[in-house]
Amino acid sequence: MDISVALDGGKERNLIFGAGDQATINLKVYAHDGDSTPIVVTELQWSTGGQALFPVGSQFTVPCVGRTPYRIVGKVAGVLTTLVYGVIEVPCACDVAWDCCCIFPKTITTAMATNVTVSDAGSYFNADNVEDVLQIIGQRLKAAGI
Amino acid sequence: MSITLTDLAIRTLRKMQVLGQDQTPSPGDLQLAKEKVRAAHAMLRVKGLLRWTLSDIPDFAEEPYAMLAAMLAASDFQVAIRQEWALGLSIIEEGINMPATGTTPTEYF
Repeated sequence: MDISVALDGGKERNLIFGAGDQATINLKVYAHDGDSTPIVVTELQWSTGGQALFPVGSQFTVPCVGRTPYRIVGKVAGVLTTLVYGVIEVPCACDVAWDCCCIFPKTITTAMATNVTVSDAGSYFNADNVEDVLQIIGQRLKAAGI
Repeated sequence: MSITLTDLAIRTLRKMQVLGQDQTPSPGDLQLAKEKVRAAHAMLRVKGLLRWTLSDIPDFAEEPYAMLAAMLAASDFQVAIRQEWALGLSIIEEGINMPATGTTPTEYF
């Protein structure tokens, strides 16, 4: 997915992904709307902490996050600048019985992760989906830096 | 590959019927039409409807751009404004609210 934004243009981009798909986000930033050559941006990062789940510039497996706002910032000529923002939506996330988005909140604290027990989500697990659920939990924990 | 500014300008001139299907615009007309396409783009930014840059206008917005630019250019080319050209704005408003409208406003993978 190529996202193009101009510093003097509209910066809102709403993104829809399919859970489990392989995707790559490429962000191109232009100084002026209509320019043909992008500018250099350093220290690109997600202000909303989604870098681990939706890395920019490398392929990733789309995690089950439901609908969540995002904002990507970076330094342009040394100045921290909001480059793009909007909502990321993974529409099929809540269509499945083992809806991990509903079991585990988007922000996971160490205490919460430590206290998660099988009984918390036991009714959602079965032999067919347990690996998927655990994978997603792992992604959430990684994103939270735990 | 998104439509170019030149292509949109030519489309605008044809919509106003100041340019035939097989004709090539004069440099002056082309420049003026490009200015009007840029003006339409700026109008969308002011209205908070921009979800793309001039370099990656999504396909659903191409015709509305020509319609809006034609409205803005009509007086310069001494052409009467056609009522349906005003639909360009509402088409774009609807387009950016679609759940999956392609590359720039919303993407589906």
